[in-house]
Amino acid sequence: MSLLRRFAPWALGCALFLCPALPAQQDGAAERLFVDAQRQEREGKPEEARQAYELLVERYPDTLQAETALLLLSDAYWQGGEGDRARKLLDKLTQDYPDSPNAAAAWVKQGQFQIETAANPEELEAARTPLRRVPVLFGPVEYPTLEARVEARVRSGEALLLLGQSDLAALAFLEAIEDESPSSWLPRALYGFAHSLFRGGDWAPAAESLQEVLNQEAMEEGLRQNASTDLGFIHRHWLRPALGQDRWARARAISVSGLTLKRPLHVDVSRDGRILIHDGGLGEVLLVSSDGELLERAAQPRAKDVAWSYDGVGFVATESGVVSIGASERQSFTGSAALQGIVSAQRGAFNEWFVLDKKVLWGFDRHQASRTLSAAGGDIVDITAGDASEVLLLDRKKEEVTVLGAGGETVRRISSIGRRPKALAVDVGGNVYILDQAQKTVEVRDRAGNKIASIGPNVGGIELRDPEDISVDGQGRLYIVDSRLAQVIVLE
Amino acid sequence: MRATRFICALAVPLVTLATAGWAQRLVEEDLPEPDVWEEIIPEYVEAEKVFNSRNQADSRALFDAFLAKVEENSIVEDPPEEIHALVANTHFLRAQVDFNVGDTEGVEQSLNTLLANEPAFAWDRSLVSSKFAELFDAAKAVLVGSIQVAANPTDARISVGRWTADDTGLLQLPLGPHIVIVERPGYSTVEQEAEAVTDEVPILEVALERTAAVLTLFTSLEETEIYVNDVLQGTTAVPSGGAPSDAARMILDDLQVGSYELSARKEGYRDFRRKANIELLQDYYMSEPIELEPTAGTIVLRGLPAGVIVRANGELVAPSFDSGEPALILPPGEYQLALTHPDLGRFEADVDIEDQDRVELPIRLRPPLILLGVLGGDETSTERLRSLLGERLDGLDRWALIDRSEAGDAVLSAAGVETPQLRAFAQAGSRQAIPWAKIQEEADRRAKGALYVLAVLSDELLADRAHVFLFPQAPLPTQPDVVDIALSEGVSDPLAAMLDSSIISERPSMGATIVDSPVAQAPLVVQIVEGGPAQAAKLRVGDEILEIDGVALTSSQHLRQELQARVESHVRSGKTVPLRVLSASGEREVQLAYETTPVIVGPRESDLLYSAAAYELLRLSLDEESLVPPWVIRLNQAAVFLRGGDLQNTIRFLQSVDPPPSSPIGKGQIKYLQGLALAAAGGEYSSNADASFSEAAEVVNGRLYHADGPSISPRAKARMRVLN
Repeated sequence: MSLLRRFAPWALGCALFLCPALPAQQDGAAERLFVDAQRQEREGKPEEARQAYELLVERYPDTLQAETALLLLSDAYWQGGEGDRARKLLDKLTQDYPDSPNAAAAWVKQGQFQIETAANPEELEAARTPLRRVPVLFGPVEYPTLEARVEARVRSGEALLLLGQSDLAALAFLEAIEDESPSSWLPRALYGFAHSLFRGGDWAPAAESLQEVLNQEAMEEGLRQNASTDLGFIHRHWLRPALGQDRWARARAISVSGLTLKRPLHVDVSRDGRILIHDGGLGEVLLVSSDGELLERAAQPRAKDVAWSYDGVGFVATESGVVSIGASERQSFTGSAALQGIVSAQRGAFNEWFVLDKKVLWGFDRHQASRTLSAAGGDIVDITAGDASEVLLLDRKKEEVTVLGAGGETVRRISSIGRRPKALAVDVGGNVYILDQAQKTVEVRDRAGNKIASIGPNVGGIELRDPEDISVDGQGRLYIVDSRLAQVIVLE
Repeated sequence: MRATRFICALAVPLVTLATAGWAQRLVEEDLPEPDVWEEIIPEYVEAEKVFNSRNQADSRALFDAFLAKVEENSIVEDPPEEIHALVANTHFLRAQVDFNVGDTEGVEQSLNTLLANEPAFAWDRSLVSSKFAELFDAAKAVLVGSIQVAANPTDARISVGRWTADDTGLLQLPLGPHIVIVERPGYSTVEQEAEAVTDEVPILEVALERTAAVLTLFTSLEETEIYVNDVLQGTTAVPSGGAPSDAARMILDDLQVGSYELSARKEGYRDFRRKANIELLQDYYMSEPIELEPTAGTIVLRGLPAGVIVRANGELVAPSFDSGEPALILPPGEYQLALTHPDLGRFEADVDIEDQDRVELPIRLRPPLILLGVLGGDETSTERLRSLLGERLDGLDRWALIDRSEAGDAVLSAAGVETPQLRAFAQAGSRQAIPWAKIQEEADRRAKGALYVLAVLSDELLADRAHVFLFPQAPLPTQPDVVDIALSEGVSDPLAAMLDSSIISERPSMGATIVDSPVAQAPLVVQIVEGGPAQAAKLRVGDEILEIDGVALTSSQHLRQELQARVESHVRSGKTVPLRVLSASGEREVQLAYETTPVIVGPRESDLLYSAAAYELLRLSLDEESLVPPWVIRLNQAAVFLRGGDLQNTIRFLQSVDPPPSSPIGKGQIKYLQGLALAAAGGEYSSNADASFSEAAEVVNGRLYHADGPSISPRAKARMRVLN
């Protein structure tokens, strides 16, 4: 046996297991593992994919693929409800590869996860910290085109909008628009910038920026829809009044396909115009499209109210809790506080619940901790969630609307609202709509409480008889439920 | 002898012809081959030299050898007159040698031979002894006689064989009978027998008969072909003994009364044609030589900047400015013109010109685009990308590609940069700063160009993409553009298109903000700029624009496209376009005046190469004939420098921008950009930035980038609030 042959097994072992692989060899193996993990994902084998990513991180930690795998793993753990594990992986990425562009992406994910779990403004503000780090640590001189930096700016702006800091939000969006190379985040930045202006009442430049969103070639369809909806709102609620025109040009009763309403009592309309109707006569909750097509119906004999959440989920409030449309999500409040019977419920921007129980407003945070939000001695008949995590209370006894901030503090009051206020709505511009059942009118107040319009009892040729509830959609169309007319009337 | 002068008329406006003293007719010498006769002349010279030395006797053998050579050559061809003269001199000098050595017989023999061949041999008596002169005279008296010829006309040539009469008509000839020939162009020739005698001089009277008119033509160029009625008559030549500067001539001696088409032709020159009317049989001669004009075409180099080096087919040529504009006057043919300027670039054109063509060639020097190489890959991938880049970029309209690939490695090496650094930078960024200024400096030093291209393959082994870095010459911004190209598809097509597009553009403007509201039926006017076309057309906020020029509109973008589509036909002719609009009071039609306004580059445009734009703006700023308003150039320059992070130059350009007061983009944008630059400078400049944003926010209807661009005010306010 030759010397070479005697040593060959050892040499093979060295090549495979003992000797450190050359960088090119490492990259090749890492790439193969990465491709394999992605294939497993495509084939619906998340567990196998996860194992392949973990193996990649363990065996070839100094490769680009390992960095990407860490990001993907953190996403997988996050979606699987293993938040701590996900965060640890992101921490590893930011600590072990501080200069890598993937570290910037990890900082953004840290911020994103914190935003998703923020239970209050303080936590949301804290979530901006990792986002703020990205432009500082990964500047444009060293990293001229870094999508993570744009994402950080946009997400930071969106958090600021939620916190009600529209000036700072405007700058964050503006930096994403003007100081960064165009990326897939540009439409979202333009939309955010438009909303910052919108909040400040600069409707013409807001319209300009929204149109820029529509002019973008590629974006999520939802974003395009939102921009279009907002332009409709601006047209209706700013442009028309500025020209001395009525906000609503006509009224019509919504005709639900294949169904006759019996005694509609409650209505809530999503931003994009989907209508939830609670019909007490039918004992059902109906989901209807903006043009009257019946999308879904559910027997809900004990329904007390209907509402859309901040993130577009429709809920039905019952005496003991809420159930989402399609019943995939159910929330019970009975064990958390001494509830006597739920009248209405709204989910806020921090996934907290505002529950109106007879005369008391309760707040339940995402961990089910409850607290009383309303002052004693009132007669709260309706609540609604506003922008920037505000909640509005309609107090019949005090004849006022109270606006509470995210912390439960009173932000402002709108008084002298009529003798028999029954229902409340707020639009994206912050205008407050108060239904006076006795007068059969809807009064519209601006954010400062000034009366800007009054509708009824005759709306576009329809004489209101027993209006029960109101709602406003993203375009500013006003919906009035009249139980005696057995109609949902829309002013548009 | 006196010449008779005539005035004669030739057909208009023809050559002025006049008679003049008759010059001797040109006789084409039947010269031997130069190598036959010229070779023996030195032998004569040597013999004469020895003759004049102390060893004069030795010259005899040399003279004999010379004569033997002449005799030998004469078997083949007759010797020319020059050789005849040398032969005569040889005999004369040989006779003196014999005389000096006392060989009387030899003297006699030499003189006899001399006078038999040259009876009119003339010599200087002061150079010989009187005794020898007596011997010569005695020999001549015995051997030579004379004939006096009285010819009419007096300038006729009188000859007997090789021997010609002197100016008085005296012929010196060997004794005996001879045939005397009297001849002259335009006359019949007379041959008459006469006898040369010693004791008297017989007078022979000869009158020639006029048979034709004679025209003597002169041309400034030798060997010009002369045609009469398109029949070649011969070529002109300088008369024997004439100076090279003398005009070449040709005599036409058989012209009869009548009209002739004369032409002179020479290759490389334009044909000369004139009519000549011969009314009398007399002598004519052209008072001025025919000046043939060289055949040439003119290539006017329109807009040629100073300092350009011009080459035609590789040869340096100097433009002429005689006609007031730079032009190349070149013989007909095909030319590859190459114009180069060290700073402004290169221009190439293939031009085919005919005689008297005038080709207008607008000169647009294309700046040099220097390919510094393809780095970071195996040889095959490198060569493939290099070839693809060459293929795509060589045909650019705006740039002249010059491959200086050999310089790329040296540039990076001198700047201390390695290829992986560039790759990492291009792929996602890199903490390790890249010294772009140093790279730019080294590129300027090693391969000076306007714009540099450096390509880095995405992988050492398996590259499927490449990152193309582009940066301009100093002192333009150093920050490069990075274009990502795929090796498998279309390759550098987007790059080529980007390089060939101009930063300078105009767009139609309405002076209005128009949006797509779902509440409206058609594009909705939400804002009108004071003084703009929309206001002039009496459009109002809230109007919905249903149609443009009869085309139903579906969106505001559709409206913009329709406006853009009419730029060519409407803007230049100043036309208006009808809009049908819907307002609260009903439908109406308005006429929108077409107006375009400049577009100012934005800070982050995806389809713009800022490096190329920076150089284009530099060129425009130096071009005094540019039609682009200087303020548009400077404002764009400021924007490009701001994007490149050069705050000092940004401020400098902004301070020099002076837009017209009516311009919708102007003060607001200047102040906004100034605010951005000062805010980026930070520190003590923050308050200045705040002031600039504040001023920008106050500009009514201020727009960024274009008259219909985004409003400045809300942006400035957003920036300002944060500073506060």
